[in-house]
Amino acid sequence: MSFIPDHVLDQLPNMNRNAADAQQFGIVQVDDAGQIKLYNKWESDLVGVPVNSAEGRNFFTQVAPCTNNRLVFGKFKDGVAADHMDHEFNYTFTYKTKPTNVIIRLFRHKATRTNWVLVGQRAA
Amino acid sequence: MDSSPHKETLATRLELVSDSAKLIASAESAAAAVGLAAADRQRLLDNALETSRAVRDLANALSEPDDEEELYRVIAALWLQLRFEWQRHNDVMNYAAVVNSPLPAVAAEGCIGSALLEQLESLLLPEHLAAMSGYAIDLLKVIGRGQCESIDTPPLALVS
Repeated sequence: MSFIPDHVLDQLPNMNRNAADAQQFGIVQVDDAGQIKLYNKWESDLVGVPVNSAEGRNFFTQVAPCTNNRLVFGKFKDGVAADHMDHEFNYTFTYKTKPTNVIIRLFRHKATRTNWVLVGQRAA
Repeated sequence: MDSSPHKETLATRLELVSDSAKLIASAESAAAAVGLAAADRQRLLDNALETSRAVRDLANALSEPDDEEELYRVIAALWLQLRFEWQRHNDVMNYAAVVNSPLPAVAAEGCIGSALLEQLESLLLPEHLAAMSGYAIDLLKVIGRGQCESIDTPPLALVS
């Protein structure tokens, strides 16, 4: 069972900043190249990257370089190319933070063709 | 007794970065976060001390005013070295986790490296950091495709 309920996935494209900031998990919307369109407060607090310095930059290469590998960025690129993406997996962040165990869900909303990197914290 | 105010130079700022207490604190925090065993924790602390000593040696060796330009370049090279090292730790740790063989000691090492990276970034110009990051990514991307011959002039040349 995912840490993100299905009904929340359906709401993502219509979620405004306030609604995104109210969620208890990380929400990052990126375009097909990985450029960040929306970066919510939870994610910002988790990794210590201010929202205004994240939005507009590339998530995989500039903001979260720990995801610039086949495990994450590779899955993302394959998902965009296939126009279908829904992967959930465990990951550990270490870039400028103490080791932080997370769950990542890469999701592409079919109807709106929007891409979402969703992040939840998990126990070690 | 010399009462003149302490003049801040690149070397003195680098010496502050080498502060072993800060690196040890990062190491302790990382070790606790991943629950390292005693032997691994000690190895991590020893590595942090060794890294601190290496940075301090650098600050002391190139401490003359005439050395500043060279010191800046060596700091940039050290940043790149640590960046690639961190990337290796990151990939080893996360790929290992995929096959259910978590390597907490590697995760902690990665944290120490990235803590030092962050400290060194305070000594480098943002445009140089952006150029070095971009170049490192592009270089590996090209090499990964086996197209070494297509590597052109590094973007660093544009900002030097």
